[in-house]
Amino acid sequence: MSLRDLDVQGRTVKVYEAGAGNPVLYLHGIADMHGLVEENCAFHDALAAQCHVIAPAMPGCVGSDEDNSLESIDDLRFHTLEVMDALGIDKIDIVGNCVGGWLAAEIAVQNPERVGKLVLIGASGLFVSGEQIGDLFMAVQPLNGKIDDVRHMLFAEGDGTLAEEWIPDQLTGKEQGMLRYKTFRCIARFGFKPPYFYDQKLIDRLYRFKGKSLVIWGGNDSFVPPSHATAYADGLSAASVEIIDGCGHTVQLEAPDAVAEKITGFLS
Amino acid sequence: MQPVRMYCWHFMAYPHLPADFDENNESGWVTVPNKLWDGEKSRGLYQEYLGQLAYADELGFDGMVLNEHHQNIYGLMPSPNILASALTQITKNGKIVVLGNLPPLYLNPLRVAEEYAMIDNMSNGRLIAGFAVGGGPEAFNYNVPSPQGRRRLWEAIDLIVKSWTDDGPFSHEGPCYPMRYVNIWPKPLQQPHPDIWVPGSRSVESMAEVAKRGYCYFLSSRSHGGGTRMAAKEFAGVMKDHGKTYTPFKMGVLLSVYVSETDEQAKAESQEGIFYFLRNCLKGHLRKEGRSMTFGPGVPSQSLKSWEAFLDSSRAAAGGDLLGDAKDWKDLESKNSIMVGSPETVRKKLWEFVEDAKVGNLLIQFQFGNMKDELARKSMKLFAEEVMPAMRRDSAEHFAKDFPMLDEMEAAQ
Repeated sequence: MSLRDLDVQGRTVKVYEAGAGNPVLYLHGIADMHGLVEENCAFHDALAAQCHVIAPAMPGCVGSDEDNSLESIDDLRFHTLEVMDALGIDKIDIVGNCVGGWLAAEIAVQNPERVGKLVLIGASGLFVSGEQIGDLFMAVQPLNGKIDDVRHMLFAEGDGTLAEEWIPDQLTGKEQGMLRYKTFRCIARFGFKPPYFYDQKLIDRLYRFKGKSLVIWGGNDSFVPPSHATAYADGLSAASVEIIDGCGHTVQLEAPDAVAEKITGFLS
Repeated sequence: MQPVRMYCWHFMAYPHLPADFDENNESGWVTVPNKLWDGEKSRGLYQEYLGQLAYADELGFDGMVLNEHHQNIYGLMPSPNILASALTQITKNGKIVVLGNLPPLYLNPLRVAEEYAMIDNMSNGRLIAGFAVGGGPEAFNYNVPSPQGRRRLWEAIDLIVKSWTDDGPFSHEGPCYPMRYVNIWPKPLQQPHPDIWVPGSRSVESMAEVAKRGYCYFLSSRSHGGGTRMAAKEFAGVMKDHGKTYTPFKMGVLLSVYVSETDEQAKAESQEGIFYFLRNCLKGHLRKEGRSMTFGPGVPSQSLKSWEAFLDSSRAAAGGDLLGDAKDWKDLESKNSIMVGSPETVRKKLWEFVEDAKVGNLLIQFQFGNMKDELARKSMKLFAEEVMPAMRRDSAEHFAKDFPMLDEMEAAQ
């Protein structure tokens, strides 16, 4: 395992790498490595046991430089292409989680020549009428001093120990407070204004990606409703869907081995 | 000799909430259900509030202050410019301070430049033009991604000022507001342009932006302990770094006052209005109870550096107990926010504040929540007759001693 600084057109991007074998670009989400925590989790370790995981941190997250010109998912897509260029990656399998899944889908649709296989886990990005993506920004603002709402939005068991450990009401220290702020400041840049965490036109463009896709969702996802899994699978040219019952948006934290196994099986 | 300037700030709260509002609603902002608006009871409300501001002008206040908020019961002023334009017609002498318009919420800053220029002409040159980034509630209401707010604010301010001072038509390159033809009619009456005030909450970045342009810094805080004196010192230092001279009139603060014949009477008369204001109007804004919308990771407008400083601060350590959490008078007094008492008590507290902080623009709230018209007017009148003259006399001497350049600047004008 290593965490290193990558120079991308003069900006520093933190990149985590682990494992050997088939290279996989991992685009992180909110309750994830590079998001609310800095380190890799059991899920990333399980992936790295089978493949070579390369995970850049989004601008402003952990030690990556902030980018004040980042204003849309398209800016983030272009930034990520530059990260791939700097890493010397021409074409690669991409696994995207949460907002990282949205980013992965945008790259697959607009730059299909850069993507081998595509895996989306609880990906935001689509507009599905009547099936809105949750307002995570309001949910993280304390209600009576507590942020239960964000825990319930992201975890199947909002009152459980996993949710409490990841997003406690009382910060365990300044480091945790900064990681939380950095993550939300990063995602606010492209997810706050309408479209809220989606690109209205993406759903009709999904067909452009002809490679194989796997869509993994927690059956009880309260941030991006599971109907979005079906919408992704219907739109993509060659996709299969795996719904993990009993899990929420953070399915990769709640069922790390099951999710990693499905992904490595699909990629091999 | 220049005395401290005292302005009357009206927030125009919605005064007809049910008694159980606090129990049944998580916020007075953004999501506060508008079925609570009672049209019949509210008939004449704007006239009443505007009347109080016109009265402030008659009483000799230095000006009247308005601000902008949306979808809330704290301040019924989604468009302060509409109220400012009414004030141009019913007031004669005082400055009309709009603090401020929120350019990041609008598509085109030229609309702000034009409306302010109109108000300046309509008021015969009495506008003080304020510009603010907007808080968390405004971000939710108008979908403004907080990280971009400040960049948009400063580009808008610079463009607006240029539209007032440079001959048009000229083009503006952006990046936020590219325009081919900037050429506003009318231009403002005051030359080179109306005074500009910009609020900030002590971040060094904001202070630097205000200081290098020589504008007036308004400290947006409702509580005044040693922090206000520190902020004035910090701002004076930042001005010096940018080759400018600090005087007390380069800074403003918000204070709240209720004056009556005696301390006891002042408390008895203001209790209902003040606690209505704290409990209901500040819910969602400056209260730990309820949904806090003003500040936090969901509305991340502070730079990473400022957020780190906040996490290091005593406020974070205190667990976020805020002004609106005050349960009784004792709680309230410990927060150094609202001055309530006889003319002598209020004068003493206010003087201690001015002497300590050396801030020259006092923006004072007299009406709170559902406070009745006659009580707000009585408090304003007692203040104007029994507090204001002494404050003016004592502060002029005090400022002249500490800031000798004030006389030179006056002479130069």
